[in-house]
Amino acid sequence: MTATSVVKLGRRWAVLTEPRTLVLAVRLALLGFCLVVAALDDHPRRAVAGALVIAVAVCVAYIPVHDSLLRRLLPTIEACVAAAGMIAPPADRASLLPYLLAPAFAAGLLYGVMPAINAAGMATFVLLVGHLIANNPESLHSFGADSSQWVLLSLAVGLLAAWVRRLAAESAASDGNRSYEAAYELLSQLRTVSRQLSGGLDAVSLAQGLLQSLRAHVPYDKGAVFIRADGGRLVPLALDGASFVEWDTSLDDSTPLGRAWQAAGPTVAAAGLLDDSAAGPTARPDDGHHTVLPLRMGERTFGLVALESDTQAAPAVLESGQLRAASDLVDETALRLETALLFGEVRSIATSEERRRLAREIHDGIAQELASLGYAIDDLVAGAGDQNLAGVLRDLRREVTRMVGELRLSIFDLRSEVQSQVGLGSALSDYVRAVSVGAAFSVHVILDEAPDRLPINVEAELLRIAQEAITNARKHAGAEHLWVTCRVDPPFAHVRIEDDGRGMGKARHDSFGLEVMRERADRLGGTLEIGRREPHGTFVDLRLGERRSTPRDATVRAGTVTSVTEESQQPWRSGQSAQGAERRHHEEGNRDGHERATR
Amino acid sequence: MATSVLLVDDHELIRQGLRRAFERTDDFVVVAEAASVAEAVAAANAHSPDVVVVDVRLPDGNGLDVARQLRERNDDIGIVVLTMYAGDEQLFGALEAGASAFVAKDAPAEDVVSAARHAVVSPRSFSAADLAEAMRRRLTPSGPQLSPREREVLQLLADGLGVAAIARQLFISESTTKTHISKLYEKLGAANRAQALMSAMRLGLIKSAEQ
Repeated sequence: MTATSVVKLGRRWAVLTEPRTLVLAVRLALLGFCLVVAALDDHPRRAVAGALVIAVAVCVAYIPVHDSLLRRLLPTIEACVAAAGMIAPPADRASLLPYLLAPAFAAGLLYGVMPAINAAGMATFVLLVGHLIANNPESLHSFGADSSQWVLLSLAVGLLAAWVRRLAAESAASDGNRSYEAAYELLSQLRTVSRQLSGGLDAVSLAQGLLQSLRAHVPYDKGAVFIRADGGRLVPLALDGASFVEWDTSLDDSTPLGRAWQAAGPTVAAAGLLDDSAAGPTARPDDGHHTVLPLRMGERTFGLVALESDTQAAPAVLESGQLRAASDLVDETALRLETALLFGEVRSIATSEERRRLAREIHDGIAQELASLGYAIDDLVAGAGDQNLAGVLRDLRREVTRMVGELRLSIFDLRSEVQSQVGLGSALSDYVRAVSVGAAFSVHVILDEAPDRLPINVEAELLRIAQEAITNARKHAGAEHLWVTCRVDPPFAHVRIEDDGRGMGKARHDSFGLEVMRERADRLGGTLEIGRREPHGTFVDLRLGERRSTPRDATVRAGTVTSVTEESQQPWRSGQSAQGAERRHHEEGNRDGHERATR
Repeated sequence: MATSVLLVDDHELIRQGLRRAFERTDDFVVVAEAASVAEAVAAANAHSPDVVVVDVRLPDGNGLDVARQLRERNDDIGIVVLTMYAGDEQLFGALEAGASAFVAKDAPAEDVVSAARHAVVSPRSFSAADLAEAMRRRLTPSGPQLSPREREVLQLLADGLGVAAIARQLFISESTTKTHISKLYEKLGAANRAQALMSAMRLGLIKSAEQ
């Protein structure tokens, strides 16, 4: 059966159970019954005449009446007419009595208890009067017994119908309430979730918790929870003992992770997850084993849990029961994890949307007005005969130019975003480049990003914290140098903004911008430190997560190149010797005389 | 004869300010104003101005599109792109659209006038306030820059050596080697050894295997 015919059938059923249709059906059925019975009667002519009167009664019931009070009386009138047809002299027609059920049923179902009682009562009255008029003791006896039965029965049917009517009304009302209840429940869950999440993007701690609990089922040496990000990347959400570098996380079927992704089910294999191509031919043959469990929402896989064990005696140890328990645990957490991720995403979409709106508003509003004010001042300067006045106006114009310049940068701030192709490092360095145009300080950027990226909403928050700190330094510090450090090694991240300017004044300490920075840091579950840089200046330092491999830190100190995307155009003016072998990446802001001379 | 100017900006006050600035000079006359892309194109057709001053953001589209359209049809028209947006992207957008000059909205009105003057004289050249700086920023290599050590590691990877072998050859620890490899992967945007070698070859960072 096709879907449409099912729908049609459903609709037909709904029409059939509609009270008015039901009442009509009952009436016609009883009328038909009466006609058949009348035709089979000992005195067909009298009986059929009675049945015809009942047919008239049915018609009476469908007289179009607009007045609602009168409409409620129609079944009663119908009952009276029908009863008159049954009892009218010269004879009784007891076989037609069942029709009395119809008006009572109609009154009860359509209008409630009182009309039902009225219909049954008036029918009784008419029958009684008819008997008294006929005054035939013999038939009175038999007919009275019959009619009293049917009258009581019709009363019962009427009351029953009225009760059904009330039940239906109640359930309709409570249906409305029930959907409200469901909505309320969902919303309050959302509120709970949002409150929990505001204490830190909880997906990370959920993933960490998952790794911890999995240890009980599948012992492992290295474990990681990956989620799929834009562009088919696997982003580690949490790591336990693992260094992501060693695993090949591309999603094609040449790698263990890629194969597990495509299998979309738990996989266990007697091999490590090491990127074997990087290990080279001299590497020892794989030992150990790995288990990969997909994170699923329904049919859709959105991430992987990868567990690797170094011990040789692998898959045999892993009973199917253990695997099932582990996979149940993963399925259970997957829902919560995906919800947390979704929530973070929704919030980040909302935030970006709001920032774009704000950018548009500033761009189209105050910025244009201020710019046109500047043009108006230019006009005054040109028209000013008085040299003093012209000087004052020129100062004013400079101030307006500065303000418009600030607004342009604010708009730029609001519009710069991390994107699926542009990671935190590039977004940050683009930003620094743009704002250091014409700045009086030189900017030194150190980027140290691992190949994998943080979740995009975390990157966005980090970028905004950095923007705020850079803006503060740019506006208030009066610094010669600005150092921007950004190290990302998911789930670890470290962003540090330093300047050698005046340092923080008291007023700046509890300014709105700092508060917002703290709020953002709290939301990420990071540690934000703002303080005095020695010998002078300010630093803003944000850390997220733990850096996992200490050896790596050591090698960085020992002289790894962190990142070089640009050579400095000027000798690096401070701290070079102190940095040892670590070369730094500088971006020099525009500086005074030398720079202008080149134009 | 005075040079004719078309002003395109959706803000009345901006147009007013610029009009007055042009009217203060003897050699310019503002022949028309427009507040949208459609109006701008219509006005340009109707008045054939010598110079068009156009804002980037317009209610029904982008001022750069107006510039592009005008340039396609006329090589001699002067086009001054005006913007409130910061960032090099807009400047190079204007350059590519065929504009003659680029002025930010925080600059004095006289800058717009002198940009227009320049645009009339040499419509197919390009001038902007921080052009030199922006060009330098753009010319700085944005591709991956490898350190000498990373180049060594990359070459050994290409030769097919494993982590341990590379570490031995360079007299560094295995974990340091891994760090170098991860840095290489990062800079080359690769997820594994094969991809890293592929993109390194593409970028000319290593010679192909035969050599």
